[in-house]
Amino acid sequence: MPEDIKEKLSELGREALEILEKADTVAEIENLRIKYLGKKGLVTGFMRQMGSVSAEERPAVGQVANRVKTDLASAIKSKLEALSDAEEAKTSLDVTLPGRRHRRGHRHPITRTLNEMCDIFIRMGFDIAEGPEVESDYYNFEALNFPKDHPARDMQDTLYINDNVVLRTHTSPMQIRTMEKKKPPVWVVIPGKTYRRDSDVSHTPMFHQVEGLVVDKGITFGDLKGVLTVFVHQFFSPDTPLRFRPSFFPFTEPSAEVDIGCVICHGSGCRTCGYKGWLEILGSGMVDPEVFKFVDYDPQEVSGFAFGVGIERVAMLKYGIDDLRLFFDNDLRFLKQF
Amino acid sequence: MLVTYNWLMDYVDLDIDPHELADKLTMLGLEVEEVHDRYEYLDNVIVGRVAEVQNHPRSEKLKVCQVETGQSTYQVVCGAPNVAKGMLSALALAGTVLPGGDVVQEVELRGVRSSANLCSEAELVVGPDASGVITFPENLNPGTKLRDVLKLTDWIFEIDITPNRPDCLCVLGVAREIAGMLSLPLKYPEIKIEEAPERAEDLTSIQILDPERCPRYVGRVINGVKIGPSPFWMVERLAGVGLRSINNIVDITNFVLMETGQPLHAFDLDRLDERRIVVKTAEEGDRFTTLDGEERIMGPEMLMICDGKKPVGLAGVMGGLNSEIIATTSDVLLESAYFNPVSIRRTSKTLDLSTDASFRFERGIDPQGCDYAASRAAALMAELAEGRVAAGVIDENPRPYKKLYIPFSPSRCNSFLGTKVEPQQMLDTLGSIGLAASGTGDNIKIEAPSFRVDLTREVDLYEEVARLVGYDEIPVTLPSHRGETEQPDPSRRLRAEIGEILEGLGLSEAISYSFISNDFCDKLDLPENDNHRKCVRILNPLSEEQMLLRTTLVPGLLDVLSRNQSFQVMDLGMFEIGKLFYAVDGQELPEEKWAVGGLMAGARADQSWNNKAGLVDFYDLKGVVEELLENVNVTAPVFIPEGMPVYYDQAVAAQVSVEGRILGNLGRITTQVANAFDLKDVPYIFELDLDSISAAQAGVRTFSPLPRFPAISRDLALVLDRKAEAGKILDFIKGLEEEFLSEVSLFDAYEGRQLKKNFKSLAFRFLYRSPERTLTDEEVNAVHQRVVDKIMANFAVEIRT
Ligand SMILES: [Zn+2]
Repeated sequence: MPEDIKEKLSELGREALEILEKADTVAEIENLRIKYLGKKGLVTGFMRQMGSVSAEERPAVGQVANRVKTDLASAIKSKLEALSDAEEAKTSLDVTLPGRRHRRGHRHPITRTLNEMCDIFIRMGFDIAEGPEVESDYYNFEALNFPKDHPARDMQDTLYINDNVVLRTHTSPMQIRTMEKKKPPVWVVIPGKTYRRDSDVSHTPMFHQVEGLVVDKGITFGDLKGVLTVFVHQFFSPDTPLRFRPSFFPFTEPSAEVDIGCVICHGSGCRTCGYKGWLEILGSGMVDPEVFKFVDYDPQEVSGFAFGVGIERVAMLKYGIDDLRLFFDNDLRFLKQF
Repeated sequence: MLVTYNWLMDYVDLDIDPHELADKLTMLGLEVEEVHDRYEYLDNVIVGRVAEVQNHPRSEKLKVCQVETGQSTYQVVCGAPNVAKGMLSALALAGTVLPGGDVVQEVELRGVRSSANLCSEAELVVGPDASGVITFPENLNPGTKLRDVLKLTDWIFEIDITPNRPDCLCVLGVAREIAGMLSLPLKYPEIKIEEAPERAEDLTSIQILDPERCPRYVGRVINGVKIGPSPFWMVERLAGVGLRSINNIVDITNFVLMETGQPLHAFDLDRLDERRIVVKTAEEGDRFTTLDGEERIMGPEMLMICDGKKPVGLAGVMGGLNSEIIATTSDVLLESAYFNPVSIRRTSKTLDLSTDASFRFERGIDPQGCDYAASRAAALMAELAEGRVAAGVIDENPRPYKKLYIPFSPSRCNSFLGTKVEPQQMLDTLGSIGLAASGTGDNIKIEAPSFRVDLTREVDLYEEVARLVGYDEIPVTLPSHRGETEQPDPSRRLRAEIGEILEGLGLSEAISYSFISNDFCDKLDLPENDNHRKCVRILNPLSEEQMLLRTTLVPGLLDVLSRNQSFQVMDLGMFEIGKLFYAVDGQELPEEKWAVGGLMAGARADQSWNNKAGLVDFYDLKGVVEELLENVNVTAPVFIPEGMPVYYDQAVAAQVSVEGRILGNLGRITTQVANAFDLKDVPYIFELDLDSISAAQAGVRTFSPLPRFPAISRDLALVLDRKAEAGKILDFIKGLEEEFLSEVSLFDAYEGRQLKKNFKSLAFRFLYRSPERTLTDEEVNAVHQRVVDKIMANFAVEIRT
C-alpha cells in the first residue's frame, strides 16, 4: 500500500512536470501550481491520505511527497524565470533603430511630372506620339505658319544645325507629322525634349514640353477650355482657378495663354507670381487654317485646338522647386527628394 | 512697349484705376507685364532750406551749402548760380536714381564732402528749367516730399505686344484698344498747318526705283527751322516712354513715332545732293555710315534712301551720318514711308541692327498712316521749331493700298467658338474697334482697317469677337471622343519599363543635356575613326561645352558623377534614358537612337548599422544588366570580354549580346578617362541600345505548368584553371540533353590557399526532376554520373574532394 502511494505520488509529479514543460504562459503555470500544489491541490490531497499510512512508513512516504513537492515548485520557479527572461528579451528590441533598408532609386521629377501629365490625357482618350528632336525648318516653323523672314520667328531663339535643320524649339512639329499620317479624329499628346538658344535664371537651353492636339468635326474654343480645365484640375487641384487670355502663336487662331491662380499665394500676390496672383502655365489656341492647308485637312470640314505645356514650369510649381537649373544638375541630394 | 497713363489721357478720357486698366488690357491680349509708379524715383527728393552758403575752398564756381530738412542737415556742394541762403529748393538724397540714370551719391568734391544734391527742374524731369536749382515759395515746410508739392502722378505700363499687333506699338494704338474696350470716344490730335506759299514739289523730288520694297514714300518740306531744345511737355512725354530728348526736330520724329507708330526720318535738305531722294537697292559691298557712327557693308538686297548722288539712309532701319539734323540745319525733308516688312527684316537681321523703326516696319505699319504722321510732325515743327511748312505733300504711292473686305458669318463664328453671342452684339463689338460691317444675316462683310495688318481671314475676326466678348464668357465644354485610340508605342513602353526596373534596382534617374562638350571624344580616348565621332554639330552653340549632339550617354553620366562627387556624394547609382544622334551622310536629319546608360560608384548600398556594404564591383553592374534584361523578357544574354569601347578597362568589361545581336557593353572605365572627367573614383558603367533590346525581346510570355513532383539535388565542385570561364561550363550543362536534369546553378566560386596556385573552384548544384513521378536515388545517381562524365570529358577540370 505505501509502495503504491509512493508510486502514485511520483507519477503525479512526472505528470505535473510534463504539463509544465508544455506550458508557456504565466497563467497556465499558475493554474498548474494551484492544481497540484494548492491547498486543495492533488499533491496536498495525497498528503491528506497520510492517515491511511502506518506510522513507521509515514516518513518514507512523506519524504517522497516532499521531494515531488519541492521538485515541482523549483521547476515552476525556473520556468517562470525563463519566461520572464524571454519577456525581457522581447522588450529589449529597439523599434526605433532604423530597419534594414534597400537602396531605392528615384525617378527624375521631370519624368514623374511628364508621366503624370500624360496619364491625365490618356484617361481623356489621347494617344501619345513622339518625334525627332532634330527637325527640319519645314516642320518646326514653315508648316506651323512661321514663314521665313517673319518676326514671329523672333519668339523662339533657335539652335541651328544648318539653314534648314534645327533642334526643335517646341514639340509642335509632331502636330504636322501626326496630321500628315492620319485623318481626323486626332487626339494626341506629344511629350519630349525641346531646345532653345537661351540660358539664364529662367531658361535652360534644353527643356521639356507636352504638346496636345485635337482635331475633329465641330471642335470649339469651348472644348479647348474644357480639356485644359480638366487637365489643370487633375494636375494641380480641383479648386485651382484658371483664366484664358488672348495671345498670339502663328499656328493657332484665336490663341490663348492659360494662367492658373498662384499655387504659392493663392492669388494674394507673391514673388513667384510677380505679385499678380496668376501664373502663366501654357499656351494654346484653335488650330490656324493655314496649318490645316499644309496637311491637306479642310478647315471647312474640321476644326481643332492645340496646346503646349512646359514641364519644368509646372514641375517647379507642383514641387515648389525654386531653381530651374536643379533639374539638369542631377544632384542626387535633389533627386532623392522625389 | 512703354506707354504712360497721362499720355493715353491725351486721346481717351480715362477714369479708371491704372491697375484695373492693366488687368483689362491683359485680358484683351495686350499683356501688361508691369505697372510702374512713374515718379517713384522722386520718393527721396524733399524740400530743403538752404541755411548757409559758403564758397568752396578750392573752386570758384562751387558753393558749399548746409541744407536743412527739418529732420537733419545735409552738406551739399552745388554749382548752380542761383543757390542762395534762405531759399527753399529740391534736395535729392543719396540713392535717388535720376531719369537719365545717374545715381545721387555721397561724394567728395575737391576735398569737400557732399551728401545729397540740390536739383533743377530739368534734372528731375519735373519742369523745363535747367538754369539753376528749383526755387520754391516761402510757405512750404522743409521735409515735404517733392511729389506732394508738385502733385505728380503717372504710371508707366510695360506692355508685351505680340508680333501680330504692330498697330499697338504706339500710344494711339493702345488708346484705340482702350477706347473700344471701355466704349469711350477716341480723340485724334488735331493737325493745323498754315502752309507757306512755296510748294514742296518745287523744293525737292522723290523717286522710287524699287516699288516692291518701297510701296509708298511721303515727304514734306519744312524750311527755316531753328534747332533747339524741345519744350518741357515733349521732354516729359518722351522720358515717360524711355526716350531722351535730343533736339526739337529729332524729338518730334520720335514723338510722332511713339504716338502714331509711323517711323519718321528728318533729313537736312541742304545736305542732300541735288536736294532730292531716290529709293533704290544698294550695290553689294557699298559702305555706309549710319547715325550711330558705324560703317556698315551693304548687301545687294538692302533698300537704301539716296540723294542725287549717294546713300543717305538705310531705309526703315537707320538714317545716315551724312544727312542727319545738326545744329545749323535749316531746311528739313521729312520722310514718312511704308517699306516692305520682309525687306526691312532681312536688312536688320543681316546687319544685326534693330531699331524702333525697323521693329515696326518688319511687323507692318499702317500703309494708310504715312501722310497723317507726316502732317502731324510738320505741324509740330512749325509750332516748336518755327519752321515754315511748304505747301503740299509729296506722296509717291506706286502700290496703292487696296481695301480689304472679309466675309463674316455670325453663326459660323458661334459654332467655332462654342458660344451663343447675338449677331448684332458681335457686329457692335467689332464696330467698337473700327471694324465696319455691311450686309445681313450670315453674309456680312467686314472692312479691315488698314492699321490692322493681322486681319485678313474670317477666323481672324472670330478672334476679335472672342477677345472683345471676353474669353471668360466662352462656355467650358468637353469635346466628344469617337472612341478610337491607337496601339501604344512599344518603344515608349519599353523605356517606361526599363526606368521602373532600374529605379527598383536602386539607380536614380539623371537627365543630361543632349549637347555635350566639343572635346568629349578626346576625353574618352576615342580613336580618330570611331563611330562616336560622327557627331551632329550645332551651328550657333551657346558655348563649346554645348556644341555637339551626344553619340553616347557615357560622358553625361561621368559628368553627373563628377558633379555629385563635388557635392561629397560618392556612393551612387544613376541611369539615363535618352536619345543619341548620329550624322548620316546624304540625309537631312540625323539618326536618333534611344539608349539606356547606367553608372555605379562607391559603396553598393547606403552604410547603416545593420548593413555594412562593400564597394560596387563588376558583378554588381552585371547583376543590374542581367536583372534589367530578364525583366524585359530578353533571355540568355551572352557576356564576352571582346569588342568593348576603349574607355573601358579591357580587363574589367564585357560586351553583351543575344543571338549575335550586340545590345551594348558594361564595365569599369579606365583610370585615364576617370582623370579626364575629374573623377575621384573609377566608376562602373553600362550602355545599351534600346532598339537592340527591343529586337531581342522574346514574344509574349507564356505559362509553364508548375512541377508536381519534388526535385532531387546533387552538388559538384570542380577545380579548374582560374582563367577558365564559368559561363562556358554552365552553357555546356544547360545544353546537355539529359532527361530529368531540370536546373543547374553556380552556388560557390573560390580561389585561395586551399587550392593550387592559379586554380579556382566552382561549385554547381544540379536539380533532377521528372514530370511524372518522384525519382529514386538510383535513377538520379545514374543521370548525374553521366552529366559529370560529360563535363569531365569536355573540360580540363578535376573534381574537388
Ligand atoms: Zn503668388
